[in-house]
This record gives sequence, structure tokens and C-alpha cells, in this order.
Amino acid sequence: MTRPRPLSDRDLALINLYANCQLGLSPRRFYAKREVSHEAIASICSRSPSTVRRWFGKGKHYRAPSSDDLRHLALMDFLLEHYDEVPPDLFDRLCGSPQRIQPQNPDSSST
Amino acid sequence: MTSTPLFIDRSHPSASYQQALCDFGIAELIEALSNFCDPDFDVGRMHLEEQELEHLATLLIQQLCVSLNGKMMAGYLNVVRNADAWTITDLPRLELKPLQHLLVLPKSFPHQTSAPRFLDGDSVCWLSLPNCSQTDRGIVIGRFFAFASHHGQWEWKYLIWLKDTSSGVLADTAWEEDLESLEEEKYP
Repeated sequence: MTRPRPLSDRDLALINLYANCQLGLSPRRFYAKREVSHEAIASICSRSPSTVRRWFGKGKHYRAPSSDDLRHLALMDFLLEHYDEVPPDLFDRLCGSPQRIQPQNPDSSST
Repeated sequence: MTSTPLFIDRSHPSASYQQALCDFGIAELIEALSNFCDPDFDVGRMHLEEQELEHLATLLIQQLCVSLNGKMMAGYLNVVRNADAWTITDLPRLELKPLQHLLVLPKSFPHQTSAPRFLDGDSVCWLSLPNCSQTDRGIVIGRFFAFASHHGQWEWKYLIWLKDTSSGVLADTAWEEDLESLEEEKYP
């Protein structure tokens, strides 16, 4: 078994950057950008549709999403925007995707 | 995994809904909040989202409901019955209760905490929302005490093992008030 690698200044800076990253996208903003269903948002955030519906509720029916939910949506949004720019080998390390998603048709709308 | 519909109804609130917001001063409250500025709170610097403004308005109205008292009500009734003699500046100022802190567990926990309504193994479902009869159901597999931002206080939250796991999501969490019991046998 190999010994853990000691953290360099760069590693510590990256950990600090990630720990304090304000990455987040509200469900309403995500929903406004794309014609996506509540069920799809539920799948992205690993939530039930009942929970997601409350993120869009009004007044006493509103429940706030967690910071984890906001980060899920921000990452999904980032991927939808920039997937084609990520080298396949690098993306496979992240998600272990067994198949490459076809690049976006340039004729279709981007957002 | 079942396929999900790509398109859903995105209709805006009805005209009567908007009219009610105006009639009861809620639209005015949201408008006042969206332009609020004093030495302690400048909305212009906060970059508030629409739902945050609505959330603030809801919290303030809830606070008003729990802050009613006889002296205040008498003052308001005076205004109602003698409206011609009063101006808006004559209205008494409210002293709303401070909210619990989301980073500090209440000192009363667990001794003065309300008993949880649901127990492990109970069958429950999420309450239906207006204009949507769809709901999810499951079995309570745990609970924890958490800060409910929609009430500004700490409340019970439950971990629910979902009945329908076809989407790949096995469990979710829900606030106590969003759940109701299902008349089914307890697990197992």
C-alpha cells in the first residue's frame, strides 16, 4: 500500500478554493434556461419530484433547496454549456462515461 | 429508468391570483422589500433572487401571525373604525420576534422540542400541492432536527425510503409538515 502524498501549497490552495466555491444555480434559473421537467431536475439532484415541486412553490408552499442541490444544478448547467469543450479522456475520468455523447448540432439553439 | 417528459406546463399565475396579491397588500410588501434600503440592510447590494424576496415576504407574514397581541389589535381596530382621523404614520410600529439562528442548535433541544409525529417504519406521502395531485410516498427510515428556513426555526425532518425507485433515487428528506400518514401496515 502506497503512502498518502503530502499536500503541496498548490493542493492546499485548490482545497481552499473548492471548500469556499460559491458554485450554485437556483432551480428557477435552471428551469428558465431550459425546457426541463421537474422529474428531470429530481434525477439531477437525486431528489423526489415532490421535493422539487416545492422548490417552485409560492408562499407557504415554498421550500428552499440545499446548497448541494444548487451545486448539482450548477454542474449540470456547466456540463450542458461546455461538454463539447471537455477532452473525452478527461471527462471519462470524471464520470466514467462508457459512451461519448454526440456533439451539439451547430444548427440547434445552445441555451 | 423511466423516461421523463421534456416539456411541462409553464403557465403563469392566474390573473385572480395576482389580483389577490395586490388586494391584500402582498404585492406591495414584495415591492417594498425589493427596494428596501437602510443602514443595516440594502437590497441593492444583496442581489436577491425572486424566490428570496417571496420567501422574505412569507416569513414576515408568518412572523406577524405569531406576533399578534391585544394591545396591537386594539390599536389597529382604532384605525379601522376611525380611518378618516388617522394617517399611515399613526400606525404603531411592530416589534417582531427575532428568528432562531440557523447555526446554533436551540438550547431547549431536546427537552422542549415537540415530539416527532412520525416513527421509523411509518408509511407516509408528501402532501399534494395546489394544482398538482401527483405526490410521492415511502417509508420513514430516520429523522433529524434541522433549521427550517421557511419558518425561521428548527424542526423535525425525515428521511424517506421511496416506494417508487424507478428513477434511481432511493431516498429523500421531507419536513414534518409536508408529510401525511398513509393507512398502511407498518414496515415490514
